[in-house]
Amino acid sequence: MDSYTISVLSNIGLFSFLAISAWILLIAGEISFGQQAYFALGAYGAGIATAVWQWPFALGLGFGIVLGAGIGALVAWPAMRLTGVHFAIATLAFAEFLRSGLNIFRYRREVGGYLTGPDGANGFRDIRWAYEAGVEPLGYLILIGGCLLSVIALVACLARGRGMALLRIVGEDPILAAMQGISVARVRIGAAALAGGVAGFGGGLYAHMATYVEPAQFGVMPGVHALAYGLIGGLGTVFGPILGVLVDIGALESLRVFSGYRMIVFGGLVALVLIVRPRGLLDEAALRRGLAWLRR
Amino acid sequence: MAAALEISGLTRRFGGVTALAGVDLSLLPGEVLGLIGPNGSGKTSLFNVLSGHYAPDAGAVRLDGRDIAGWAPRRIARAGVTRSFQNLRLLKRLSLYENLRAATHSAASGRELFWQSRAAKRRERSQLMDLLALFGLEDKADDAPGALTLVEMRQLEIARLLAARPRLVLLDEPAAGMTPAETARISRIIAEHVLPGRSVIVIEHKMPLITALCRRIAVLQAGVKIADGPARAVLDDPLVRQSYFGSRPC
Amino acid sequence: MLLDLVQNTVDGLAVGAAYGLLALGFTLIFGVMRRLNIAFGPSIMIGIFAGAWLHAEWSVGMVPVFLAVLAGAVITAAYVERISFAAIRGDAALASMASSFAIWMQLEEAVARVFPGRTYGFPTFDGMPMIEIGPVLLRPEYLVMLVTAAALVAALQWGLAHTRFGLELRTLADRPEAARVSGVNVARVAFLTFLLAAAIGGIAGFLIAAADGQITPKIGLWATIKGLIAMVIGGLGSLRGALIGGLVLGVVEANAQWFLGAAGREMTTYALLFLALVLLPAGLAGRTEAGARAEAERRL
Ligand SMILES: Nc1ncnc2c1ncn2[C@@H]1O[C@H](COP(=O)(O)OP(=O)(O)OP(=O)(O)O)[C@@H](O)[C@H]1O
Ligand SMILES: [Mg+2]
Repeated sequence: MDSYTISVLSNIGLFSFLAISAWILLIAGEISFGQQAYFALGAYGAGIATAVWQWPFALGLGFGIVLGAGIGALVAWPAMRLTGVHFAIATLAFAEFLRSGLNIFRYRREVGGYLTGPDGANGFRDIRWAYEAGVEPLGYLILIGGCLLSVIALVACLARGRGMALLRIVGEDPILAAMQGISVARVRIGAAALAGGVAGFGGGLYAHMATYVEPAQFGVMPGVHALAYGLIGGLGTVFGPILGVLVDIGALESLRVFSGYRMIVFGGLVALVLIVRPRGLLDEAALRRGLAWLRR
Repeated sequence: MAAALEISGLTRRFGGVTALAGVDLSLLPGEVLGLIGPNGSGKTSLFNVLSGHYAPDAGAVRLDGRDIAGWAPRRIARAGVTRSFQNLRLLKRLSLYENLRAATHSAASGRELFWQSRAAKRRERSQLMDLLALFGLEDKADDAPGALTLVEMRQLEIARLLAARPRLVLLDEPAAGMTPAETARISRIIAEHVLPGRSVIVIEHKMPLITALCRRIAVLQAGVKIADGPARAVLDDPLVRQSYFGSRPC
Repeated sequence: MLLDLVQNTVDGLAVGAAYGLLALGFTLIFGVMRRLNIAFGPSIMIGIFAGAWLHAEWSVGMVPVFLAVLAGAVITAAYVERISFAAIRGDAALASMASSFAIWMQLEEAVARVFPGRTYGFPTFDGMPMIEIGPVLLRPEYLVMLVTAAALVAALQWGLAHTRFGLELRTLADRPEAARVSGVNVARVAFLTFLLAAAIGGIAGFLIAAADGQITPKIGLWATIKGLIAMVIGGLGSLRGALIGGLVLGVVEANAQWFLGAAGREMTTYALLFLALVLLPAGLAGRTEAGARAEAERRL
């Protein structure tokens, strides 16, 4: 595989984490414009853990996940009563708050004779684990793929158990859910923690691939993109958001004929798809048909 | 015998409207009460307070001796109270099967969020499919409720209610929008599957259903209970006839 | 210190008035459609670039530039409405939002194709003197903003109360079922509301661009975010709230910028926004018609 393909595929993989994160909240009935915040938390958390504290890579990634999930739950707790536009703006507010906080966040320590760590708006350089461990881009791509598979497996477990059903019930009708004895608050906070953890996972992986992160990378745009991916790919299964990423970054990135008009073509395509299938390509109806077919 | 449900002085206002004005009502275990009254008399509001959707402004609701007034809906549901909805509340993006299963989640353990054993899944499926089969809906288990007829939708609500294994059932106009034949069918279904072993309050404007199911009837008018007693006596009460049926012949 | 506070507040009110106009556009669309048009800012961006282009090519005066901005914003909004809103029927608020995002991407790329640079000049209100009110200074373009915003809101209030279209719009916003049965042409009112919102947004965009003297494509994102925030602070679906929300946002930003610097401004503004949402979800304007409707929707 040439390095271009590897980098495109890696980006698809990493963006899938963010898209799945936003998708989980969509399933739970909440629109988030702010999942990039947890991606950033994962990136900074895992980066600090391996580069500054010299933790092993896996532990560093784990720290990024826990940070994303914990803060996700913490933010969701007061925001739990909000729905619709209110929730969307609250998540946006938190994400922008965090981003401007990172702009003045300095935490530089001497490691092996070098100053390492986040340096406010100048960013956070030298997150060098992959380089020092001698992991090639292809190896790292496989690592990203494996991690993504583990997230898919987790969602599959939730779908096999009751987790996914709970998210969907609360997402579609919280009043009915409560009258079925379901704790809407707990489901919403759980969804936020899960979404935050998934984004944090992706962020940690991203930081170690890029070796450099800066607050400006975690603006509103990636968050809105992530949200759109789920809506385009479909809300039925976890493959929806991944399909959304594939369609955007993958298909059109490789179709060079559209270069320069890429977003015009993509935007038009998406608008058409949404007219025909308002809940995305792989929507709930597709899921129901798929399950019925499997059972046959 | 101790009452299963004991409502006293229940009051609820909405701005200037007093939907419930000090309602007293009690229900014995296994008893079926028909609740009637003109439009806007507070019947649904009573259910909304009983199921916790609205907190009462005053009054007590004792369920098997515990005062549940003001509890959150989730807690009341877990205490064994389940209701149906006048305007139907189905999950239209989920299959019929998942609609039924929605009623079973609260009883499950935390571990089951992530994993249900094959045996547990099979047991759950056979139980819920049996319920669907009661209503002849088993072939549509994987469809969305949007494809159902009105009668089938009401049946699905009743099936969901049964899946929750409630002790107290609140039925809000289960025959709304049905033809006389369909009404007769749904009242047979309720008599067969909902009533046995449960305390039930059923709101209905269709008298044939009320008279078929209930030996006791209570009448609300403008948030006040104006009659309560054996069905025939209440229906023959001139005050009730005057307020409820007005000039309309019964 | 106190003087700074007053001066900042005056500046903030002016910028806030522009935010308020953006919020007004959002709230009109949201009130009538119950859907979010996140391509609102980018439509305004198209208008502003149309104006800048006209100015650069033919060095025309302010009035033709203004008309070009208005036309650009309104025509783009019509395109967005047809594709992302009218074409997607039923209970599909999410789809409309995603679709308007897709159109936004189109608009950004279109601007990037036609205007490959980063920033472009925009005509300013030259030759108007600085206004001194005691020790407080008011930039003339800020005065224009304040006056325009006040006039627009007043005109809008009057129009909603006294015209047939206004009546239909309010009915559709407050009681959609009633509107449908009473024979209001829902699709037409929604479309016209969209255009009206775009015109108001276009005016706001024109004023902002003229005050800055330069424009970048970022103004699309900026206008969407500021308008959304101001709308939510004020209270969904409330015209008065939109203006109040805009003013509050402007004043808070201006003071935080002065006393805390750029990073401090962002952090304070967003922290306050988060708190405001959690503590006052109904918005500063209190329980609005829209709020009452949301309550009614909770009825079983
Ligand atoms: N959430 C609410 N907000 C304001 N008023 C309410 C609310 N819920 C009920 N009401 C009012 O309370 C009164 C009783 O309404 P309720 O729905 O209980 O009547 P009902 O007896 O169920 O009537 P129907 O036979 O038409 O179903 C009505 O005047 C109604 O408008
Ligand atoms: Mg009722």
